[in-house]
Amino acid sequence: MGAVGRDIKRLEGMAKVTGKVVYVHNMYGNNMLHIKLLRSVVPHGRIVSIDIQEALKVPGVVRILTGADVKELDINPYFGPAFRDQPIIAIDKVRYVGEPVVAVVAKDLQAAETAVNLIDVEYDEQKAVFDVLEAAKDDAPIINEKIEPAGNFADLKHLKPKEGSNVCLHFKLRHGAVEKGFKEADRVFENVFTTQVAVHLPMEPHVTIADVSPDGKIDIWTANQSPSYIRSEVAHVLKVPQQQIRVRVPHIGGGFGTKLYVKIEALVALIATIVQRQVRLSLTVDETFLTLTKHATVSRLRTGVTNDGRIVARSCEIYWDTGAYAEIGPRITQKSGFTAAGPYKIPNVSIDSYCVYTNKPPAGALRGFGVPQLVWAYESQMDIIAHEMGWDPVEFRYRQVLREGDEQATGQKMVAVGFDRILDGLKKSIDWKASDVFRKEDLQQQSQTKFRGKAISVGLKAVLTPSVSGAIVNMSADGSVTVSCSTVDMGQGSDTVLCQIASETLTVPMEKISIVHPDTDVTPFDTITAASRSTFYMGNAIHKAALKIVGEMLSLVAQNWGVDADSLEIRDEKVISKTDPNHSITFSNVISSLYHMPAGNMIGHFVYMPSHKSLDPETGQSEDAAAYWFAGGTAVEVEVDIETGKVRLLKLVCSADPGKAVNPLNVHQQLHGAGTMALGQALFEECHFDGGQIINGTMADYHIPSFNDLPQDFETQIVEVLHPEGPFGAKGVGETGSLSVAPAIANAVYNAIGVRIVDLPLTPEKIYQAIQKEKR
Amino acid sequence: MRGGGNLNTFNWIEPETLEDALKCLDGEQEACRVVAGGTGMALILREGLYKPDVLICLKKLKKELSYIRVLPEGGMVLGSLTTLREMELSPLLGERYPVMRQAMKRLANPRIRNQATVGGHLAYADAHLDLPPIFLALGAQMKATSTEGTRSIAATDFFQGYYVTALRENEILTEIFLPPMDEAFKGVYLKYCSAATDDWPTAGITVLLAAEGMKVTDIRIVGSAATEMPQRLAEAEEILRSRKITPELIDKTGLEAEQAVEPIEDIRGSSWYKKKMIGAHVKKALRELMGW
Repeated sequence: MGAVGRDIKRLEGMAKVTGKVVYVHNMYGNNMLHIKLLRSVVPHGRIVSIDIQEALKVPGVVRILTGADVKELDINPYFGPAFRDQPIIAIDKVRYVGEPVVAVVAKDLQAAETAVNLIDVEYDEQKAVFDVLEAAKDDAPIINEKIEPAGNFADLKHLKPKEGSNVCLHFKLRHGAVEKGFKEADRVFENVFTTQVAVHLPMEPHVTIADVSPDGKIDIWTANQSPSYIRSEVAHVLKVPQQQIRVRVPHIGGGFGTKLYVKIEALVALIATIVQRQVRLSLTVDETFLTLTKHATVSRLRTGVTNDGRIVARSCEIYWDTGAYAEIGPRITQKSGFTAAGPYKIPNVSIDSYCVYTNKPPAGALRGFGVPQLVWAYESQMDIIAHEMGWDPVEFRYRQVLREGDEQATGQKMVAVGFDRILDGLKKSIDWKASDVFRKEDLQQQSQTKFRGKAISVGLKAVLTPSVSGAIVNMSADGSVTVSCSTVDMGQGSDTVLCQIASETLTVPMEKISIVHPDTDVTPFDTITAASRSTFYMGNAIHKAALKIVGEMLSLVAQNWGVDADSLEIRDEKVISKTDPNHSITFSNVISSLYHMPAGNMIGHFVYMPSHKSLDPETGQSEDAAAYWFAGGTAVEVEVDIETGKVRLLKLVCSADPGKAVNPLNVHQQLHGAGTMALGQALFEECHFDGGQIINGTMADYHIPSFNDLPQDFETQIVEVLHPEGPFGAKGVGETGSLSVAPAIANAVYNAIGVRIVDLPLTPEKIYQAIQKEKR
Repeated sequence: MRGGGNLNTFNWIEPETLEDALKCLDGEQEACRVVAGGTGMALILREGLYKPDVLICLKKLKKELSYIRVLPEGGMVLGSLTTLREMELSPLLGERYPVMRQAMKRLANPRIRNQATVGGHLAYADAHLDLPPIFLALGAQMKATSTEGTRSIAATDFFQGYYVTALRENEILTEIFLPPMDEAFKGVYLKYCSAATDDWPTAGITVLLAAEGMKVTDIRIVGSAATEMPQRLAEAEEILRSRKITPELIDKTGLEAEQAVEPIEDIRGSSWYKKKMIGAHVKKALRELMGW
C-alpha cells in the first residue's frame, strides 16, 4: 500500500512532544550579543532627537543603532514584499505606536533592556489617522509620502502604488455589466460589514540570529515562513549578492502568516555586519502584537436578486486597513479581493478593493489571507437576503454555487471545486431543515432565556499564483532518499506530507526518506510556505523531481537489458519488467551499476510553476487567475443566552475539499486547528486601541480559544474532488477551515434569535444590545 | 512601551521566620512588597507596572503559615500561605463551604492554583479575583500581623478599592478566619466571562441564601469583577429578605442589584453592559439556588 491517502502521524511528533526539537527560540551561542528595541510611543510624528548618552554608559552595551545611523550606511534601508515602504528601524519619522526606533546591542539581555529604558526620544507629533475610511479620504494626513514598488514577486510587479494618498492600491474587477444587472434585479440589498484587528499568536514569537562567518558570509537562523525571500530581500537591503546570505529555518513554533516575509531579519543581519559578532533578537509575545496583525476591513456589498432566487448582480467595495506599512496588504487586496463576490455564479460583478494605510501596526496574512474577512461579508448577506425573500438560505446557495466549468468573477472557469458535496455533508451533519426558523415573538416570552439556531456558510479561496517551488530529490546508492526543499514545517505537517508524496512516487518506504529543512545554500528557491500551497506546489516539484529519477533509472535499465523503457515499471524499490515480474533490479543496484561501486547518487531536480495569466489591470479578468481554487464550508449549531448575549457553540462542522487528501489525519487536524482559530476571531478576539496604541496587547488581556471554548461536538469533513494538476490530485487545506466560520455563527445567531450582527467579533454585548433593541 | 521587564534588578530576601519577615518589612524604606506564590507579582513585574527595590519572599514560612484548621468553637482558619490547590482539595473546607469548592474549579488553572496562595490572592485585591467576593459574603476576618502585634480586619473593611486593601505597609496577612456557615444557607458563585472562557470575568455574583420553604430567612449578595472591589448589594438583599421568593421578586432583585453598582468600562464591556450582567447573574444565581 502506498503512502498517499494514509493516516500517518507527524514524523517529528515524538521529538516535539519530548522536547527534542530545536527551535531558533532555544538556540543560544557562546558570546552572542542580544538586541532589544525601543519602540515608538506616538502613532505619527517626526523624530526630533534621540538621546542615547545615558544608555551608552550601561555596562555591557556594545552598540546603539538609530535611524540616523542607518542613513549614513550604504544600504537599502527600506523593505517590503509588495512596496518597499518599511524602514528596518524608524528613519526620521514614526508611523505607529510600537514601531522600532532604536536598537540596543548588549552582552546580555538585561543590559540591553536597562539601556533601552534610559533612551530619550523627542517626537514632533503629527496628526494621526486610525480609521480606515477616514484614512482613505483625500484630506487625511499622509502616512507614507514616498512608496517604492518592490518587484520581486511576479504577481506583484504590476501593482502600482498610488502616492499622495493613503490608498496605496486600488484593485478593480469588472465582470459583465453590473449596473445593467441591478436593473434586471427584483430586489437590491445593500449592507456594510466590518471585521476587527486580530493577531496570530504562534507559540514561538519572532526570533532571528545572525552571524558573520570568517569568509564574510552572513548566516541567518530565523523562525520564518519564507527563507528564500529572506535571502533575496536581506541581500537587497545590505547590497550584497544573494550567495553571501545563508538562511536556515528549522522547525518553527507556528506561523499563521505572521512569520512571512522580512520581519526582524534585515535589522538583525545588518547589526551582525556592524558588530561582526553573533547577534540575537527574540521578540516578546507582547512585541508580536506590534509586528503584524490581521487586516481590519469595511465591506460594502450591493446584491441584486430576482424573485426566482438568482443573484444577477453584485458590487463589492472593500477597504483593507493595512496599518502603517503595506506589508502583503496589496496582494491581499488583489488576490483575495477578486473572490469578494463569493463562490457564486453571478453574471455581473464589480469589485473595488482598496489597500489603505493607517497609523496602526502593519497588517498582513492570517490563515486565510483576507478571505475570511470577505466571506464574513458575503455569507452574512446571503442569509440576510434569504430571510428577507423568504427563501431557505441553504437552497439559495445551492442555486448558484460554483460548479465545474462555471465562471468565477475573474472569468476563470472552475475546475475541481466540491461545493455541492460540501453543502450536502454540512446539511446532513446538523440535520438542516428550512423550517428551523426563529419566530420573533419567542423573544418576548419571559420564561425562555436560551435559544438555539443553526446555519451553514461556504467560502472560496484562490491559491497564490504565479509562484514557484523547486525541489531536489537525491537517491543514494543504498536506495535511501533525501528531499531538499525550502518548505517550512511550521506545525502544519509538511515534512510528513511531502515525504508521503516522495514515497508514493518512488515506491520507497517513508522511513528511508528524509526531508532537508530550508537552507538557502542547499535547498532550492520556494516562494513561501503559505497560502495552502505547499502540498500542491512543493508536492508537484518533489513528485516531478522524483519522476526524473524514475525516468533516468528506467532508461538506464532499459539500455542494460536491451529493452524498451516503456516495458519497465517501478515497484517496491525495484525496476521491474512489466512482462516478466521476476525480472527486476533494485534501485540500489541500478545506482551501483552506474558508478561500478556501491556509491554515488541519482539526483532529480524540478522547478514547478503553473501557467498563469495576469489579471487585466482595468477589469481584473483572467481565464487563468489561479492554479487551483479551494472550497470550504462550515455548519454550526449555537445556543444564545438572551440574558447575557453570550453565544455557546454546541456544534461546529468544518468541511473542506482538499483535492486528494494525501494524509487524511493531517487534513482533519488542519480543519480542527483552523476552525479553532476562526471561532476565537469570530466570537471574542480583538485588538483594542486607544490613540493608536493596542491596549490589550498581552496574553493576559487578549485571549485565544482554550479547550474550554471548543464545542462539545466538533466535526471535520473531507470532500475529495481531485485536481488534474495536483500531485495525486491534491490541492491544499491549511486555510480552508477558517474561511466561513464567522458568518456561520452569525447566521446561526440570527436563526436562533432574529438578531443580526454585522461587526466582528460577535461579542455578547453587541448581541445583548441588539436583543434590547429588538425587544422594544 | 512594554519591554521584557526588569525581573532581576531588585533585592530578593527570603526570611526564615515570620518574625524575621516582619522585621525586614518594618526596616525597609524603599519600594518593598512581600511575595507569596508570586503569580500576581510576576505579572505586574513583567508588565513593568511595579518596580520594587526589595521583594520579601515568604516561601520559607510555609511551615508556619500553611494550614487549614477547623476550630472547636466553629468556623475555620486558613494560614495565608495555603495554596489555592490545597484549599480546592481540602474536604474540610469543601464540606463546610460548598460555594468555595464550586468556585475553585474555575479559578485560573491547576498550575496557578498550585502556586498561588490564599493570602496573596486576597492581598493582591484585583477586582476580578474569585475568592474575595466569597470571603466577603461569608463574613471572613483577616488577621494582619506586624512587629507591633496583630489585628483582625473584617472582609467588608479589608477591601478598600482597586488593588487597595486595609493592610498597612508593615503588615502581612497571616490568617483568614471563616465563621461557621449556618446549614440553612445554600450558596452559589457565578463567574461570567464575556470573551474567552478562561479570560478574566466581566461580572461575578456570589449569593448565599437561607430559606424556610419559599420564605427567605437570610440572604447575602456580593457583586464582583464589574466593580472596583467586591461589593455587598444590600439594597438587592432587602427586596428578598423575609419575603416569599417569586420569579417576579427575583427580577426585581436583579434590577436593584444592577442599579447598585457603578462598573468601570474596559475591554470586557461597557459600564452599561456590566450593570446589566450584574443584574442578570443575580437572577441566574437565585434561580439556580431555587432550582428553577
